[in-house]
Amino acid sequence: MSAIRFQKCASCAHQWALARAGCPSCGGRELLVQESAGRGRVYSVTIQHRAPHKDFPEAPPWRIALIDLDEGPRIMGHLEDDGRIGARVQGHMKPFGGAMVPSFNSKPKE
Amino acid sequence: MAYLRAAYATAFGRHDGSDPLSLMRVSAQHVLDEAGMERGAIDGLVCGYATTLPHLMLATRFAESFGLTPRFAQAVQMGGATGAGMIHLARLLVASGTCRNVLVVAGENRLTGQSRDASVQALAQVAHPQGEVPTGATVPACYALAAARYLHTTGAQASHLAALAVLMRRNAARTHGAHLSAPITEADVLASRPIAEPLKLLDCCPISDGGAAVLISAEAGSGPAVAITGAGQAHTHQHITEAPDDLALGARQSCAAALLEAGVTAHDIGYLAIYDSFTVTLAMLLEACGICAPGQAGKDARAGRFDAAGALPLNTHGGLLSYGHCGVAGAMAHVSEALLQMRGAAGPRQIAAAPTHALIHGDGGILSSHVSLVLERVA
Repeated sequence: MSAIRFQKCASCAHQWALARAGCPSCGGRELLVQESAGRGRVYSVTIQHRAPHKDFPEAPPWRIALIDLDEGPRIMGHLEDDGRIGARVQGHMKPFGGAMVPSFNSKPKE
Repeated sequence: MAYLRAAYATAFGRHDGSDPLSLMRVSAQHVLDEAGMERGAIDGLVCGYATTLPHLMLATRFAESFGLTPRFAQAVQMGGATGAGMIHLARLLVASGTCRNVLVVAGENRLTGQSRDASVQALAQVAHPQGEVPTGATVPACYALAAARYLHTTGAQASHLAALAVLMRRNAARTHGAHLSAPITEADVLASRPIAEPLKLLDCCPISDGGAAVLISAEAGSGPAVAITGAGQAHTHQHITEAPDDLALGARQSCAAALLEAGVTAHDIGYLAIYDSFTVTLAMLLEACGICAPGQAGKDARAGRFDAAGALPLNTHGGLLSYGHCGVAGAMAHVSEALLQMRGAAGPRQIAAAPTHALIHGDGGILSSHVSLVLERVA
Protein backbone atom coordinates (compact mmCIF):
# COMPACT_ATOMS: atom_id res chain seq x y z
CA MET A 1 0.00 0.00 0.00
CA SER A 2 1.81 3.10 -1.23
CA ALA A 3 1.26 6.66 -0.16
CA ILE A 4 -0.06 9.49 -2.29
CA ARG A 5 2.75 11.87 -3.20
CA PHE A 6 2.97 15.48 -4.24
CA GLN A 7 5.73 17.99 -4.89
CA LYS A 8 7.01 20.81 -2.72
CA CYS A 9 9.48 23.57 -3.52
CA ALA A 10 12.60 23.47 -1.33
CA SER A 11 13.03 27.22 -1.76
CA CYS A 12 9.59 28.73 -1.12
CA ALA A 13 7.65 25.76 0.36
CA HIS A 14 4.91 26.08 -2.30
CA GLN A 15 3.32 22.69 -2.94
CA TRP A 16 1.14 21.27 -5.69
CA ALA A 17 -0.31 18.10 -7.16
CA LEU A 18 0.50 17.90 -10.87
CA ALA A 19 4.10 16.82 -11.53
CA ARG A 20 6.39 19.45 -13.04
CA ALA A 21 10.12 20.13 -13.23
CA GLY A 22 10.17 23.47 -11.44
CA CYS A 23 8.22 25.48 -8.89
CA PRO A 24 5.36 27.40 -10.56
CA SER A 25 5.54 30.05 -7.85
CA CYS A 26 9.25 30.97 -7.58
CA GLY A 27 10.86 28.95 -10.36
CA GLY A 28 12.92 26.91 -7.91
CA ARG A 29 14.37 23.71 -9.35
CA GLU A 30 15.00 21.85 -6.12
CA LEU A 31 11.79 19.95 -5.54
CA LEU A 32 10.92 17.69 -2.64
CA VAL A 33 8.57 14.72 -2.91
CA GLN A 34 6.09 14.78 -0.04
CA GLU A 35 4.12 11.77 1.18
CA SER A 36 0.54 12.61 2.07
CA ALA A 37 -1.11 11.05 5.09
CA GLY A 38 -3.91 10.35 2.63
CA ARG A 39 -6.55 12.28 4.52
CA GLY A 40 -8.68 14.89 2.82
CA ARG A 41 -12.10 16.08 1.78
CA VAL A 42 -14.16 15.56 -1.37
CA TYR A 43 -14.19 18.76 -3.46
CA SER A 44 -16.23 17.19 -6.24
CA VAL A 45 -17.15 13.75 -7.55
CA THR A 46 -18.64 12.21 -10.68
CA ILE A 47 -19.67 8.73 -11.69
CA GLN A 48 -18.10 8.09 -15.06
CA HIS A 49 -20.06 5.74 -17.30
CA ARG A 50 -17.85 5.67 -20.35
CA ALA A 51 -14.28 4.38 -20.68
CA PRO A 52 -11.80 6.80 -22.26
CA HIS A 53 -11.29 4.39 -25.18
CA LYS A 54 -12.46 0.97 -26.27
CA ASP A 55 -9.27 -0.84 -25.29
CA PHE A 56 -9.27 0.59 -21.78
CA PRO A 57 -8.69 -2.36 -19.44
CA GLU A 58 -11.32 -1.43 -16.83
CA ALA A 59 -15.08 -1.54 -17.25
CA PRO A 60 -17.07 1.54 -16.18
CA PRO A 61 -18.69 2.91 -14.15
CA TRP A 62 -16.26 4.27 -11.59
CA ARG A 63 -16.19 7.39 -9.45
CA ILE A 64 -13.66 10.11 -10.18
CA ALA A 65 -13.17 12.74 -7.50
CA LEU A 66 -11.17 15.84 -6.77
CA ILE A 67 -9.85 15.56 -3.23
CA ASP A 68 -8.47 18.41 -1.15
CA LEU A 69 -5.64 16.78 0.81
CA ASP A 70 -5.22 18.01 4.36
CA GLU A 71 -1.66 18.97 3.40
CA GLY A 72 -3.07 21.46 0.86
CA PRO A 73 -2.89 20.23 -2.73
CA ARG A 74 -6.04 19.18 -4.61
CA ILE A 75 -5.62 15.92 -6.49
CA MET A 76 -7.70 13.78 -8.83
CA GLY A 77 -8.35 10.20 -7.85
CA HIS A 78 -11.01 7.56 -7.41
CA LEU A 79 -13.68 7.39 -4.75
CA GLU A 80 -14.53 3.81 -3.85
CA ASP A 81 -17.84 4.50 -2.15
CA ASP A 82 -20.71 6.95 -2.37
CA GLY A 83 -19.08 9.72 -0.35
CA ARG A 84 -20.44 13.11 -1.33
CA ILE A 85 -18.94 16.55 -1.71
CA GLY A 86 -17.54 17.63 1.64
CA ALA A 87 -17.08 14.08 2.94
CA ARG A 88 -13.89 13.23 4.81
CA VAL A 89 -11.86 10.58 3.01
CA GLN A 90 -8.78 8.45 3.50
CA GLY A 91 -6.78 7.11 0.57
CA HIS A 92 -3.64 5.62 -0.92
CA MET A 93 -2.30 4.61 -4.33
CA LYS A 94 -3.98 1.62 -5.97
CA PRO A 95 -3.48 -0.14 -9.30
CA PHE A 96 -6.05 0.73 -11.98
CA GLY A 97 -5.90 0.07 -15.69
CA GLY A 98 -2.17 -0.62 -15.62
CA ALA A 99 -1.28 2.52 -13.66
CA MET A 100 -1.35 3.64 -10.03
CA VAL A 101 -4.20 5.95 -9.06
CA PRO A 102 -5.00 7.69 -5.75
CA SER A 103 -8.03 5.91 -4.35
CA PHE A 104 -10.18 7.07 -1.44
CA ASN A 105 -12.83 5.89 0.96
CA SER A 106 -15.15 8.22 2.80
CA LYS A 107 -15.34 8.11 6.58
CA PRO A 108 -17.98 9.48 8.94
CA LYS A 109 -18.04 13.26 8.88
CA GLU A 110 -16.03 14.98 11.57
CA MET B 1 -11.61 50.00 -35.91
CA ALA B 2 -11.91 46.34 -36.83
CA TYR B 3 -15.18 45.23 -38.38
CA LEU B 4 -16.85 41.86 -38.49
CA ARG B 5 -17.48 42.15 -42.20
CA ALA B 6 -18.75 38.73 -43.18
CA ALA B 7 -19.28 35.36 -41.53
CA TYR B 8 -20.57 31.96 -42.53
CA ALA B 9 -21.03 28.51 -41.08
CA THR B 10 -21.78 25.41 -43.16
CA ALA B 11 -24.44 22.98 -42.12
CA PHE B 12 -23.15 20.87 -39.21
CA GLY B 13 -23.63 17.11 -39.00
CA ARG B 14 -22.47 14.51 -41.51
CA HIS B 15 -20.42 15.65 -44.49
CA ASP B 16 -19.37 12.33 -45.97
CA GLY B 17 -16.18 12.56 -48.00
CA SER B 18 -15.23 15.93 -46.55
CA ASP B 19 -11.95 16.84 -44.88
CA PRO B 20 -10.75 19.93 -42.99
CA LEU B 21 -9.40 21.63 -46.11
CA SER B 22 -12.60 21.10 -48.10
CA LEU B 23 -14.76 22.41 -45.26
CA MET B 24 -12.45 25.39 -44.81
CA ARG B 25 -12.51 26.06 -48.56
CA VAL B 26 -16.30 26.10 -48.75
CA SER B 27 -16.54 28.41 -45.75
CA ALA B 28 -13.81 30.78 -46.92
CA GLN B 29 -15.23 31.06 -50.42
CA HIS B 30 -18.66 31.85 -49.02
CA VAL B 31 -17.26 34.68 -46.92
CA LEU B 32 -15.28 36.13 -49.84
CA ASP B 33 -18.39 36.02 -52.02
CA GLU B 34 -20.46 37.68 -49.32
CA ALA B 35 -17.89 40.47 -48.99
CA GLY B 36 -17.42 40.74 -52.75
CA MET B 37 -13.71 40.29 -52.25
CA GLU B 38 -11.04 38.64 -54.40
CA ARG B 39 -8.43 36.32 -52.94
CA GLY B 40 -5.71 38.91 -53.50
CA ALA B 41 -7.34 41.31 -51.05
CA ILE B 42 -6.84 38.89 -48.16
CA ASP B 43 -3.58 39.94 -46.50
CA GLY B 44 -4.02 38.04 -43.23
CA LEU B 45 -4.99 34.43 -42.52
CA VAL B 46 -5.74 32.91 -39.14
CA CYS B 47 -6.61 29.21 -38.93
CA GLY B 48 -7.41 26.87 -36.09
CA TYR B 49 -6.46 23.21 -35.87
CA ALA B 50 -8.15 19.96 -36.80
CA THR B 51 -7.75 16.66 -34.95
CA THR B 52 -8.38 14.85 -38.25
CA LEU B 53 -5.57 16.80 -39.97
CA PRO B 54 -2.74 17.34 -37.54
CA HIS B 55 -0.32 19.60 -39.42
CA LEU B 56 2.68 21.71 -38.44
CA MET B 57 1.55 24.62 -40.63
CA LEU B 58 -2.18 24.43 -41.14
CA ALA B 59 -2.52 28.12 -42.07
CA THR B 60 0.11 27.87 -44.80
CA ARG B 61 -1.27 24.51 -45.90
CA PHE B 62 -4.67 26.10 -46.35
CA ALA B 63 -3.28 29.28 -47.93
CA GLU B 64 -1.56 27.23 -50.63
CA SER B 65 -4.58 25.05 -51.19
CA PHE B 66 -7.07 27.92 -51.36
CA GLY B 67 -4.82 30.29 -53.25
CA LEU B 68 -3.77 32.94 -50.77
CA THR B 69 -0.39 34.61 -50.32
CA PRO B 70 -0.99 36.63 -47.14
CA ARG B 71 1.58 38.74 -45.35
CA PHE B 72 0.51 37.16 -42.07
CA ALA B 73 -0.60 33.55 -41.51
CA GLN B 74 -0.81 31.65 -38.26
CA ALA B 75 -2.66 28.71 -36.74
CA VAL B 76 -4.06 29.07 -33.23
CA GLN B 77 -4.67 26.38 -30.63
CA MET B 78 -6.85 27.32 -27.67
CA GLY B 79 -9.26 24.40 -27.55
CA GLY B 80 -12.84 25.61 -27.47
CA ALA B 81 -11.69 29.21 -27.14
CA THR B 82 -9.93 29.05 -30.51
CA GLY B 83 -12.74 30.55 -32.58
CA ALA B 84 -13.07 33.63 -30.41
CA GLY B 85 -9.29 33.73 -29.93
CA MET B 86 -8.68 33.78 -33.69
CA ILE B 87 -11.10 36.69 -34.08
CA HIS B 88 -9.36 38.47 -31.21
CA LEU B 89 -6.04 38.03 -33.02
CA ALA B 90 -7.51 39.18 -36.34
CA ARG B 91 -8.81 42.30 -34.65
CA LEU B 92 -5.34 43.05 -33.25
CA LEU B 93 -3.85 42.60 -36.71
CA VAL B 94 -6.31 45.05 -38.24
CA ALA B 95 -6.14 47.54 -35.35
CA SER B 96 -2.35 47.58 -35.50
CA GLY B 97 -2.36 48.23 -39.24
CA THR B 98 -0.59 44.95 -39.91
CA CYS B 99 -3.41 43.73 -42.14
CA ARG B 100 -6.55 45.15 -43.74
CA ASN B 101 -8.50 41.97 -44.40
CA VAL B 102 -7.99 38.94 -42.20
CA LEU B 103 -9.67 35.68 -43.11
CA VAL B 104 -10.40 33.51 -40.06
CA VAL B 105 -11.29 29.97 -41.05
CA ALA B 106 -11.71 26.52 -39.55
CA GLY B 107 -13.26 23.21 -40.50
CA GLU B 108 -13.13 19.59 -39.46
CA ASN B 109 -14.74 16.28 -40.36
CA ARG B 110 -14.66 15.32 -36.71
CA LEU B 111 -17.69 13.03 -37.08
CA THR B 112 -16.92 11.11 -40.24
CA GLY B 113 -13.14 11.51 -40.36
CA GLN B 114 -12.43 9.33 -37.35
CA SER B 115 -14.22 6.98 -35.00
CA ARG B 116 -16.09 8.47 -32.07
CA ASP B 117 -13.64 6.54 -29.90
CA ALA B 118 -10.73 8.35 -31.55
CA SER B 119 -12.44 11.70 -30.95
CA VAL B 120 -13.06 10.93 -27.28
CA GLN B 121 -9.48 9.70 -26.90
CA ALA B 122 -7.99 12.73 -28.65
CA LEU B 123 -10.00 15.09 -26.48
CA ALA B 124 -9.08 13.17 -23.32
CA GLN B 125 -5.52 14.42 -23.84
CA VAL B 126 -6.83 17.65 -22.37
CA ALA B 127 -6.35 15.84 -19.05
CA HIS B 128 -2.94 15.72 -17.33
CA PRO B 129 -0.94 12.65 -18.43
CA GLN B 130 0.28 11.67 -14.97
CA GLY B 131 -2.15 13.34 -12.60
CA GLU B 132 -5.49 12.82 -14.35
CA VAL B 133 -5.40 10.46 -17.36
CA PRO B 134 -4.68 7.35 -15.23
CA THR B 135 -8.04 7.80 -13.47
CA GLY B 136 -9.72 7.27 -16.84
CA ALA B 137 -11.01 10.84 -16.87
CA THR B 138 -12.50 12.11 -20.12
CA VAL B 139 -13.44 15.69 -20.99
CA PRO B 140 -17.06 15.02 -19.98
CA ALA B 141 -15.82 13.64 -16.65
CA CYS B 142 -13.81 16.81 -16.02
CA TYR B 143 -16.84 18.98 -16.82
CA ALA B 144 -18.96 16.67 -14.68
CA LEU B 145 -16.66 17.45 -11.75
CA ALA B 146 -17.27 21.13 -12.41
CA ALA B 147 -21.00 20.43 -12.74
CA ALA B 148 -21.25 18.51 -9.47
CA ARG B 149 -19.45 21.29 -7.67
CA TYR B 150 -21.61 23.94 -9.37
CA LEU B 151 -24.83 22.20 -8.34
CA HIS B 152 -23.51 21.71 -4.80
CA THR B 153 -22.40 25.31 -4.42
CA THR B 154 -25.38 27.07 -6.01
CA GLY B 155 -28.24 24.77 -5.07
CA ALA B 156 -29.27 24.54 -8.72
CA GLN B 157 -30.59 21.18 -9.90
CA ALA B 158 -29.87 18.95 -12.88
CA SER B 159 -33.29 19.84 -14.28
CA HIS B 160 -32.21 23.48 -14.45
CA LEU B 161 -29.23 22.50 -16.57
CA ALA B 162 -31.60 20.43 -18.72
CA ALA B 163 -33.60 23.58 -19.47
CA LEU B 164 -30.58 24.94 -21.34
CA ALA B 165 -30.40 21.82 -23.54
CA VAL B 166 -34.12 22.15 -24.28
CA LEU B 167 -33.68 25.78 -25.32
CA MET B 168 -30.75 25.01 -27.63
CA ARG B 169 -32.73 22.23 -29.28
CA ARG B 170 -35.75 24.49 -29.74
CA ASN B 171 -33.51 27.08 -31.40
CA ALA B 172 -31.87 24.46 -33.63
CA ALA B 173 -35.27 23.29 -34.84
CA ARG B 174 -35.63 26.66 -36.62
CA THR B 175 -32.14 26.54 -38.12
CA HIS B 176 -31.38 24.99 -41.48
CA GLY B 177 -28.26 22.88 -41.19
CA ALA B 178 -28.51 22.08 -37.49
CA HIS B 179 -27.11 18.68 -36.53
CA LEU B 180 -29.85 17.87 -34.01
CA SER B 181 -33.35 19.26 -34.38
CA ALA B 182 -35.81 16.75 -32.89
CA PRO B 183 -37.61 18.43 -29.97
CA ILE B 184 -36.62 17.37 -26.46
CA THR B 185 -38.01 18.04 -22.99
CA GLU B 186 -36.31 18.42 -19.63
CA ALA B 187 -37.57 14.93 -18.81
CA ASP B 188 -35.86 13.59 -21.96
CA VAL B 189 -32.58 15.16 -20.87
CA LEU B 190 -32.83 13.76 -17.35
CA ALA B 191 -33.74 10.31 -18.68
CA SER B 192 -30.96 10.18 -21.26
CA ARG B 193 -28.01 7.87 -20.76
CA PRO B 194 -25.63 9.02 -18.02
CA ILE B 195 -22.20 9.96 -19.39
CA ALA B 196 -20.48 11.35 -16.30
CA GLU B 197 -22.98 12.20 -13.60
CA PRO B 198 -24.59 14.65 -13.25
CA LEU B 199 -24.15 15.03 -17.02
CA LYS B 200 -26.36 12.92 -19.26
CA LEU B 201 -26.08 12.39 -23.00
CA LEU B 202 -28.37 15.33 -23.78
CA ASP B 203 -26.30 17.62 -21.55
CA CYS B 204 -23.43 17.06 -24.00
CA CYS B 205 -22.89 18.47 -27.49
CA PRO B 206 -22.69 16.06 -30.42
CA ILE B 207 -19.57 15.46 -32.52
CA SER B 208 -20.13 16.96 -35.98
CA ASP B 209 -18.53 17.77 -39.30
CA GLY B 210 -18.58 21.39 -40.36
CA GLY B 211 -16.73 24.53 -41.23
CA ALA B 212 -16.94 28.26 -40.64
CA ALA B 213 -15.21 31.45 -41.69
CA VAL B 214 -15.20 35.07 -40.60
CA LEU B 215 -13.74 38.13 -42.32
CA ILE B 216 -12.30 40.80 -40.03
CA SER B 217 -11.64 43.96 -41.96
CA ALA B 218 -10.58 47.59 -41.65
CA GLU B 219 -13.67 48.45 -43.71
CA ALA B 220 -17.23 47.74 -42.66
CA GLY B 221 -18.40 46.66 -46.10
CA SER B 222 -22.02 46.91 -47.20
CA GLY B 223 -24.96 46.59 -44.84
CA PRO B 224 -25.15 47.54 -41.17
CA ALA B 225 -21.59 47.91 -39.80
CA VAL B 226 -20.66 45.65 -36.91
CA ALA B 227 -17.39 46.37 -35.12
CA ILE B 228 -15.46 44.52 -32.44
CA THR B 229 -15.31 47.14 -29.71
CA GLY B 230 -14.04 45.08 -26.78
CA ALA B 231 -11.97 41.96 -26.22
CA GLY B 232 -10.51 40.17 -23.25
CA GLN B 233 -8.78 36.92 -22.42
CA ALA B 234 -7.91 35.06 -19.24
CA HIS B 235 -6.03 31.80 -18.73
CA THR B 236 -6.24 30.53 -15.17
CA HIS B 237 -5.12 26.89 -15.47
CA GLN B 238 -5.04 24.00 -17.92
CA HIS B 239 -6.22 21.07 -15.80
CA ILE B 240 -9.27 21.09 -13.55
CA THR B 241 -7.09 19.68 -10.77
CA GLU B 242 -5.34 23.06 -10.60
CA ALA B 243 -8.36 25.25 -11.35
CA PRO B 244 -9.14 28.04 -8.91
CA ASP B 245 -11.95 27.43 -6.40
CA ASP B 246 -13.96 29.92 -8.45
CA LEU B 247 -13.96 27.51 -11.37
CA ALA B 248 -15.10 30.05 -13.96
CA LEU B 249 -12.86 32.83 -12.70
CA GLY B 250 -11.26 33.19 -16.13
CA ALA B 251 -14.63 33.92 -17.72
CA ARG B 252 -15.32 36.54 -15.09
CA GLN B 253 -11.98 38.20 -15.85
CA SER B 254 -12.06 38.05 -19.64
CA CYS B 255 -15.66 39.23 -19.84
CA ALA B 256 -15.01 42.13 -17.49
CA ALA B 257 -12.05 43.18 -19.64
CA ALA B 258 -14.06 43.02 -22.86
CA LEU B 259 -17.00 44.99 -21.44
CA LEU B 260 -14.66 47.59 -19.96
CA GLU B 261 -12.91 48.17 -23.26
CA ALA B 262 -16.24 48.43 -25.07
CA GLY B 263 -17.50 50.88 -22.48
CA VAL B 264 -20.65 48.89 -21.74
CA THR B 265 -22.02 46.69 -18.97
CA ALA B 266 -23.75 43.31 -19.10
CA HIS B 267 -27.07 45.22 -19.02
CA ASP B 268 -26.32 46.76 -22.42
CA ILE B 269 -25.95 43.40 -24.13
CA GLY B 270 -28.84 42.49 -26.44
CA TYR B 271 -27.63 39.18 -27.81
CA LEU B 272 -25.56 36.35 -26.35
CA ALA B 273 -23.24 33.96 -28.20
CA ILE B 274 -21.91 31.79 -25.38
CA TYR B 275 -19.89 28.58 -25.55
CA ASP B 276 -22.05 25.59 -24.67
CA SER B 277 -20.08 22.36 -24.97
CA PHE B 278 -22.13 21.04 -22.05
CA THR B 279 -25.20 22.50 -20.37
CA VAL B 280 -23.11 23.22 -17.30
CA THR B 281 -20.55 25.11 -19.37
CA LEU B 282 -23.28 27.44 -20.55
CA ALA B 283 -24.71 27.89 -17.05
CA MET B 284 -21.36 28.66 -15.47
CA LEU B 285 -20.32 31.05 -18.24
CA LEU B 286 -23.63 32.95 -18.20
CA GLU B 287 -23.22 33.44 -14.47
CA ALA B 288 -19.52 34.32 -14.60
CA CYS B 289 -20.20 36.88 -17.33
CA GLY B 290 -22.66 38.61 -15.04
CA ILE B 291 -25.71 37.75 -17.13
CA CYS B 292 -27.34 35.60 -14.43
CA ALA B 293 -27.14 35.42 -10.66
CA PRO B 294 -25.30 32.35 -9.29
CA GLY B 295 -27.33 29.19 -9.86
CA GLN B 296 -29.98 31.01 -11.90
CA ALA B 297 -28.97 30.36 -15.51
CA GLY B 298 -31.17 27.31 -15.99
CA LYS B 299 -34.08 28.89 -14.18
CA ASP B 300 -33.76 31.99 -16.36
CA ALA B 301 -33.79 29.77 -19.45
CA ARG B 302 -36.85 27.92 -18.19
CA ALA B 303 -38.61 31.25 -17.61
CA GLY B 304 -38.04 32.22 -21.23
CA ARG B 305 -35.49 34.96 -20.67
CA PHE B 306 -33.15 33.55 -23.33
CA ASP B 307 -35.81 32.56 -25.87
CA ALA B 308 -35.51 34.01 -29.34
CA ALA B 309 -38.53 36.15 -28.39
CA GLY B 310 -37.26 36.72 -24.85
CA ALA B 311 -35.44 39.60 -23.23
CA LEU B 312 -31.94 38.36 -24.07
CA PRO B 313 -31.73 35.86 -26.93
CA LEU B 314 -28.98 33.25 -26.66
CA ASN B 315 -27.38 31.12 -29.38
CA THR B 316 -30.46 31.38 -31.58
CA HIS B 317 -28.98 28.93 -34.09
CA GLY B 318 -28.93 26.14 -31.49
CA GLY B 319 -25.40 26.36 -30.15
CA LEU B 320 -22.91 23.54 -29.85
CA LEU B 321 -25.53 21.52 -28.00
CA SER B 322 -27.80 21.24 -31.04
CA TYR B 323 -26.45 23.07 -34.09
CA GLY B 324 -23.41 20.92 -33.42
CA HIS B 325 -19.74 20.88 -32.54
CA CYS B 326 -17.06 20.24 -35.15
CA GLY B 327 -14.10 21.57 -33.16
CA VAL B 328 -12.77 25.04 -33.88
CA ALA B 329 -15.54 25.98 -36.32
CA GLY B 330 -18.17 24.96 -33.76
CA ALA B 331 -18.11 28.17 -31.78
CA MET B 332 -17.60 30.24 -34.94
CA ALA B 333 -21.17 29.39 -35.89
CA HIS B 334 -22.17 31.39 -32.80
CA VAL B 335 -20.40 34.40 -34.33
CA SER B 336 -22.00 33.91 -37.73
CA GLU B 337 -25.42 33.83 -36.07
CA ALA B 338 -24.64 36.92 -33.99
CA LEU B 339 -23.75 38.85 -37.14
CA LEU B 340 -26.97 37.78 -38.86
CA GLN B 341 -29.03 38.88 -35.86
CA MET B 342 -27.21 42.21 -35.54
CA ARG B 343 -27.74 42.97 -39.23
CA GLY B 344 -31.39 41.99 -39.10
CA ALA B 345 -30.62 39.26 -41.61
CA ALA B 346 -31.53 36.13 -39.64
CA GLY B 347 -34.69 35.50 -41.68
CA PRO B 348 -37.31 33.46 -39.83
CA ARG B 349 -35.04 33.37 -36.76
CA GLN B 350 -34.62 37.15 -36.64
CA ILE B 351 -35.16 38.46 -33.14
CA ALA B 352 -37.54 41.37 -32.69
CA ALA B 353 -35.03 44.18 -32.32
CA ALA B 354 -31.67 43.76 -34.02
CA PRO B 355 -29.32 44.14 -31.04
CA THR B 356 -26.81 46.98 -30.75
CA HIS B 357 -24.42 44.95 -28.60
CA ALA B 358 -23.63 41.26 -28.56
CA LEU B 359 -21.37 39.32 -26.21
CA ILE B 360 -19.33 36.42 -27.54
CA HIS B 361 -17.60 34.07 -25.13
CA GLY B 362 -15.39 31.07 -25.85
CA ASP B 363 -14.04 28.57 -23.34
CA GLY B 364 -11.14 26.19 -23.95
CA GLY B 365 -9.97 23.21 -21.93
CA ILE B 366 -11.85 22.71 -18.67
CA LEU B 367 -12.90 26.33 -18.08
CA SER B 368 -9.19 26.98 -18.65
CA SER B 369 -8.84 29.49 -21.50
CA HIS B 370 -11.35 32.26 -22.00
CA VAL B 371 -11.94 34.79 -24.76
CA SER B 372 -14.69 37.41 -24.64
CA LEU B 373 -15.62 39.78 -27.46
CA VAL B 374 -18.12 42.62 -27.61
CA LEU B 375 -19.72 43.32 -30.99
CA GLU B 376 -21.36 46.66 -31.60
CA ARG B 377 -23.59 47.82 -34.44
CA VAL B 378 -21.99 51.15 -35.26
CA ALA B 379 -24.00 52.30 -38.27
